[in-house]
Formats: sequence, structure tokens, C-alpha cells
Amino acid sequence: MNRVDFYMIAGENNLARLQFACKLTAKAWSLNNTVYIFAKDKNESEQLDAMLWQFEASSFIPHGLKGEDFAQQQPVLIGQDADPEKGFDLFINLTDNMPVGVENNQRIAEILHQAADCLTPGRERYKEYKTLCQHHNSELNYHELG
Amino acid sequence: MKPVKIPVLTDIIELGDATKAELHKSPRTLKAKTISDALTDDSLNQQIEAAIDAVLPSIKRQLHRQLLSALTKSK
Repeated sequence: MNRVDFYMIAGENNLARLQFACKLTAKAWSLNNTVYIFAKDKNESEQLDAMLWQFEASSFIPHGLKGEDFAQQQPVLIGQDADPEKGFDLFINLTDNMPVGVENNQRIAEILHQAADCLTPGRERYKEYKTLCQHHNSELNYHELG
Repeated sequence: MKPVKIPVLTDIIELGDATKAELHKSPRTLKAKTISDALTDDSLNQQIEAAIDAVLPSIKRQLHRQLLSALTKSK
């Protein structure tokens, strides 16, 4: 684990949070990175799946849902459980909890918005990451987004 | 008005939102008096653009699956 980045989205819109997850994914994929998006539930996984196919007409982000056909071949995977056995270049956590084995990934992204039900668990995870980063000698960064 | 048949990816285009993809009511034909009329008809071109936008995500998804399937089988 090299670094953890927290991104604070303005407002309380969860859709904006998912859209930013798609932007991060697109950027990472354009740099030939593998990405795992850890979604909070099946609905969110399917929503992200559709959003990535709809992301910019000219873009192509090959991806799939964990557990479906060809999951092993997907450079971008979306799932409702963490996959500590396989490390990804970028692990995007959209759940409220610290994923088990998250340190097996190169980079971790946490995306928060301003609503209390997102911010409060996010602050707790920030403290946990601080300890984890100290242990792994990794960077912990915080970004405020407009 | 004689319909002009334009080949489209009919095998992989799913029926989209009818309000956005009027052309999907008759997916195999593009109804226009002439091709030049079609090219200058803004309303028709807007319909075409909306139809393409509506189905593009489905096309990407299905092509991806088909190619993965074909390439995986060929190994």
C-alpha cells in the first residue's frame, strides 16, 4: 500500500460521489491501472456498472461485476465484498467500513460527501488509515473538491 | 415515402427509451425521402443522435461481453 487519498465532495449528493468514483476509475484505467470499486450493496454495484458504460460517449472502460462471467479478466471490477487475495492498483471504497485486507492494494481512494451519515464513518476510517499508513510508511492525503 | 434501408447493428442494439430513440420503432429502416434530405433535416439528425446516445452504453456493454467470450474461447 503506497498511499491513501481521501476526497471530500461538496454537498450531500451521493450520485456526485458515484460520479467521482467513475472519474477516478476512468483516469486510473487510462493509465493502465486495475481498479476495484467496493460498493455498499448490489444496487449500488449495478448503478456503477451502468454509469461506467454511460461515462463519456467516446470512452471505453472495460469492467464487470464480481461473480459474473469474465470477472477474472476485468481490469475494473465492482463488488460488494473486499477481495484481499488479489491486490488492485486502485481500490475505491464506497462503504462505511474499513475493508479487510485493504492494505494489499497499491492505492486506496475514499470518497466522502458532507452528509453526516457519510462524514461520521469517514472520519473514523481516516483515523484508522492514519494508523495503517504509519505502520506501512504510506502517504495519507486529503483533497477538498469544489 | 420510400424507406431507405441502412444497415445497423440490429443484433446487438437493445430497444432503448422510446422517447429518445424514435428510430427504434423501426430499427431496420431510416425513413427519409432521399439521403440528402436526411442529412439536411435537423430534426431527423437530432433523432439519430438521440438514438445513438441512447444505445451506445448498451452497444459498449454487449460488444465487450461478446469480444471477451470470443477471445476467451479462442485461447
